[in-house]
This record gives sequence, C-alpha cells and structure tokens, in this order.
Amino acid sequence: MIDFERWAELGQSLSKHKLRTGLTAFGVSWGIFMLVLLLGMGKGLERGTMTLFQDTALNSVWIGGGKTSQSYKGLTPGRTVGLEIDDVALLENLPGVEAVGPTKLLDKGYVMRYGKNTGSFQINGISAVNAEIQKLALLSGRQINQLDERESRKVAIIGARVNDVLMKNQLSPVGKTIYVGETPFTVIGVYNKALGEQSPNRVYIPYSTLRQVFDPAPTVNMLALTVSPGYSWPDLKPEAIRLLSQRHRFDPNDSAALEIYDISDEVKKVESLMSGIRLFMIIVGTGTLMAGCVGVSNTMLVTVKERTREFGIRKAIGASSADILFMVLHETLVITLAAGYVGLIAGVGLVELISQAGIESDYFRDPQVDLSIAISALGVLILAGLIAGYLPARQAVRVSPIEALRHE
Amino acid sequence: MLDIRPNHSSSLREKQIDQLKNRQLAAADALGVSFEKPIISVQSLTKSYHIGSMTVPVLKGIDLSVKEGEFVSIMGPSGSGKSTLLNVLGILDRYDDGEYVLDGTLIKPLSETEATRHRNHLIGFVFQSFNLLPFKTAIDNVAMPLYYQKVPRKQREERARKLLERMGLASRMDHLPSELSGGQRQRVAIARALVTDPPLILADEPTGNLDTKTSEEVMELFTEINHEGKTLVVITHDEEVAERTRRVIHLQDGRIRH
Repeated sequence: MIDFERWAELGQSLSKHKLRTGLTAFGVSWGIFMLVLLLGMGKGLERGTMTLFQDTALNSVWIGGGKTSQSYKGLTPGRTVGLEIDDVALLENLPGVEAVGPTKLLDKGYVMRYGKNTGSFQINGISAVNAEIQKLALLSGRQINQLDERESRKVAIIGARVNDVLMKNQLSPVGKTIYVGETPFTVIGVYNKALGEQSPNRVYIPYSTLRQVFDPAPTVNMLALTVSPGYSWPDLKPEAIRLLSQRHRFDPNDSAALEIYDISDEVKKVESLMSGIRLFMIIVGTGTLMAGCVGVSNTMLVTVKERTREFGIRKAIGASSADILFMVLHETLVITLAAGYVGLIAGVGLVELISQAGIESDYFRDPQVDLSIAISALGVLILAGLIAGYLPARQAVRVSPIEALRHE
Repeated sequence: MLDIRPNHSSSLREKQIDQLKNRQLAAADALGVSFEKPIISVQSLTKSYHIGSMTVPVLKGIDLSVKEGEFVSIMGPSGSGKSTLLNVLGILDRYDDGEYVLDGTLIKPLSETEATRHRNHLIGFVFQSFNLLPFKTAIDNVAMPLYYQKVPRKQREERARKLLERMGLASRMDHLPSELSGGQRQRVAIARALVTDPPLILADEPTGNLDTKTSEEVMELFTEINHEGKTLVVITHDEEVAERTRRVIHLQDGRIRH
C-alpha cells in the first residue's frame, strides 16, 4: 500500500517535470549506448583482424626469392634469386623444420570452360604439405593430397568466384569436369578464402600437375615452411639462409636476397596492435562513462538545487528529511535504471543488427557486446546518479524550510 | 457559511477588554497560576546565528505564553527576530537556551523524526508566498500533509475535498496553482494547513502578497477558524492585520516589548 503510494507520487513528480526527467534519461541512455557501441565495434575489429590469420598455420614461414643487393664471389648485385623445387628437399633436412611445400602462381590467366560457360582465371600449383599450411577454407570437397601430387592427377580446387562464373554457383560442383584449354580437370573442392587473395578466384592444382601440363620449369614462387614444436624460426633462420645462399650463391648477410614472412611474428605484431587498440578503447570507454557520470551528476545537482523550495514545502507540511532523501534517490534510481536499460537495448540491438547484416571486411566481422561490462557500466552510472542526488539533497534538507521557502 | 463577526472596525471597548484580559493573564503568569491551558509556553529562549567566526544573537531571551484558542499576532520591524521566532515555534529550527513547551512537550531534545511528527500533527503552516507545489492540483496540494501521515488516498482526497468546498473552491479543485488567483491560492494553502486538523496554525505574513480586499477575506477566514477552537499565531508587520487579532505581541531587537 505504502509502496504503491510512493510510486504514484514518483510517477507524478517525473511526469510533471518532463524536461528534467528527459535530460537526465537522455544523458544516461546516450552514455550507455555509445559505450556499448564502442565495445561492440572493438570486438568486431579484433575478430576481423584475427581472422586474417585463420587461413594459414600460425607456425609457418613463407620464403620467396628476392634481388641481391651485395656483390658475392665476383657476382654483381641486382641478380634475381629464383627458388626451385629442389630447395624443398634442402630445407626439409634441416632439424626443426616440420614440412616444406612449394607454391607456384602462373602469371597469366587461363581460359576455362564448363559447358557453355567460360572464364579466365589464374592457376596456382601447391603441394599436399602446402595445402595443410595454407589451409584453404573449403566450402565443399577436399584438399589436395600426396597421392594427387605423386600421380600428377588432373584435379582442381576452384574458388567460389570460379564456381560462380563457370557453373553458375552450382551447389555440388565437386566431381564435375572443367576444361583448361583442352585439358580436363576434375573439381575436388571449392574454397571461399585463401591467404593473400582478395576474392576466391583462382584454381589450385597439384604442383607436379602444373609442371607437367603448363610449365615444366622447376621454379617456385614461394616455399611455405612449418616449424616443429619446440623450435622457433629465429633459431632455424641462420642455417636455412646459409643453405639457400650456398645453393643460389648470394651473401648470407644480404637481407634483400630473400623475402621472408614469419607468420608468428606477424601475429605478434597484430596482437600488440590489438592490445594497443584495446587500451585505447578502455580509455575512451572510461572517458565516455565519466562524461556520462558528470552529465548525470550535473543534472541531479541542478535538479536538487532547483527543488530546494519544494523540499522546504514538503518538510513544512510534515515530510521528514528521510522521506525527501528517499524520494530523490528513488527518482534517480528509476530514471537512470530505465534510461540505462533503454540505452543498453538500443546499443546491443544496433550491434546485433550490424552483425546480422553481415557488414564485414578484412578487418571487421561479428561485432559483439560484452554484456557484463555494459551492465557494470550502467551500475557505475546509477551509482554516480545516486551520489550526485544524495549529497546535494542531504545538504538541501538540512536547510531550514522557512529559509528555503523565503529564498525565491 | 462565513458567518463572521464584523470586527474590521475593532472597537475601543474591545481593545480595552483585551488589554484588561492580558493584564490579568500577565498577573496570573507572574503568580504561577494559569486559567487556561497554554499551548505555547516559551521561557528565556535565546538563539544566535553563527556567520563565520561571528556570533549574531537574534533572540535574546523571549518569554511568551499562548493559551489554547487564542488569536495572536507577532509584530516587529525587519531584523527583530520575527522569522527566527516563527522557525523555532514551528519546530523548523533549533534554539540555544531556555525552554519551549508545545502542547505539553518540551521541544528541545526532540530527534528529527519526532520533530517532524510533532510538526505534522500539531502545526499547520500558512506562508506569505503560499508555497503550493506548482506541479500539483489544488486538491493534491491540500492532501499532501496526509500523505506524509500515511493516510490512505481515498480518505486524503475526501478530507481535502471537504475543506476546499468549505473554502468556496469546489470548482477549482483540479486546477494547478498557476491557474488560481492569489486569494484562491492562499485559501488552498489554508486548507492545506487545516487538513491534518492541528491545534495550532502558524502564519507567516499571510496577507503580504494579497490586495486589501483579499487580505480582509483571509483575515475573516482566520477569525472563523479561531472561533472553531484553533490557536492562531500570525506574524505580520501590517498594523491592520494585527488589529484583527485578539492580542498583539511586539518584538524588537530580539526581545518582547512590553
């Protein structure tokens, strides 16, 4: 009964002061909304960036030929270092190396045909080892295996774009035959994402098949190497470079002769970037929250000042200081809680909408809100509101009602 | 309804009677006997304000007794301590020394909760600037003190309605204060002071914001309320208002002038 009376009184007080109520509510809603949005977007950024590495083994190192920058044993600088298939065996014997595989991307596109549909696509030759390292993200079918490689089978993993153009996005292209020139290839898989590709529009075939059908030269673009557990690339690097430098005759100290990408190193760089971004978000988030707190506190402060007279009247007609304090805190709690809830729902809703809409790029995907953080942020705002309401209200109820009443 | 004694031309004879009565009461006080039960009994009351390191004495030893059913005005120039005395009498402020007994209760050692309870049950306030809550209708304003007495809504509204009807405001019950004239607002405020049926009404310059005609109406209303048995203490600097009361107490420089 008494509770109902309090709520009725509260409802009247809030609804008769729409501007005051609205401003406080807006401050809280907006603060929480922005915070939730910030947290959600941050999560999306983190997830997007980390997926850049999902299509490659994290313990892999990619080595490609470069151009010498120093003279070596009478050879002039500026020579191209071309890696070859024999380098695979050379590096494989190095202790600490798990596996090595070649990739060779043919420069020009080849016209391919399926039924009446044709298109020109690039061909990439890889080995079974490489297929594991590179982790083509398959929509259907299987990876290239050692048997394919040994027997130089005419099998292909095609990109989703290729499937789109040649087979009009057929649901099960696996087992179908496409023609590259006059050579038939059996489709064994479809991928939708691969390292170093903007869109999946290549055709992967076994390296040995590529040499047999298209280009007999023993060259490779890159060697993909994985490091055995318990070893790290910096330990192996000097010996690997020494072996390659002997074979290809360049100065082992010439850093331009080879292009080396250590994925674990790249991951570390990105992780440190992410922790920087995370720190930045914590600072911005805390700032947003503080701005919200200041806003709510300020409104409460002004509100209470403005209501000194009302409190005086209430006191003179029989309200105790406790009654008035309770009233102020009750109002603050209800406004901040309701408004915070609205902000929370709006923020989570928007983040969810972005996530559902599938807005994503290389650096952004699947934004998500950490609800526990958002709710504790709301808690902080409510606490700030309560303190900001309580302190001046306690001051105000101490003032003698007659003074409060005479003070127009 | 307002069958009020036409006393705006307070006769000399009446004044003489009052003076005689006051002299008798003073004599009785001096002897320690009282004919009627005092509702307000103040003895050697002092109060100072502290402004920084300075101490400003405002009430310098007040002796005052108001009997039940009296109609008293307290007059004095600004700075004489009128408002401070009203604060103390209304249990809105503490005092330093002396004694204040309200309706048989020594006020000084009361806790804040007790003070609030006594204020709510014993005293009704009427102010110069009405002090109605601007966002509440007339009936809600009148019913407010009962809300703090935890009286159920239905009863609150019924009592508020009856009082407003008596004040001739039956058609104005659901109006906001801003939609009422000054006289109507003061009548709402008086209804609010009466709603808890307190034995004592304290009025602080109740006619200060009203024109002469409305002031007279308000004073007539006060007289009527007094006749119903309520004790009224009116603080004013208006001679005409003071003349309408049964006894005038002059305050000067923190003391009662005899």
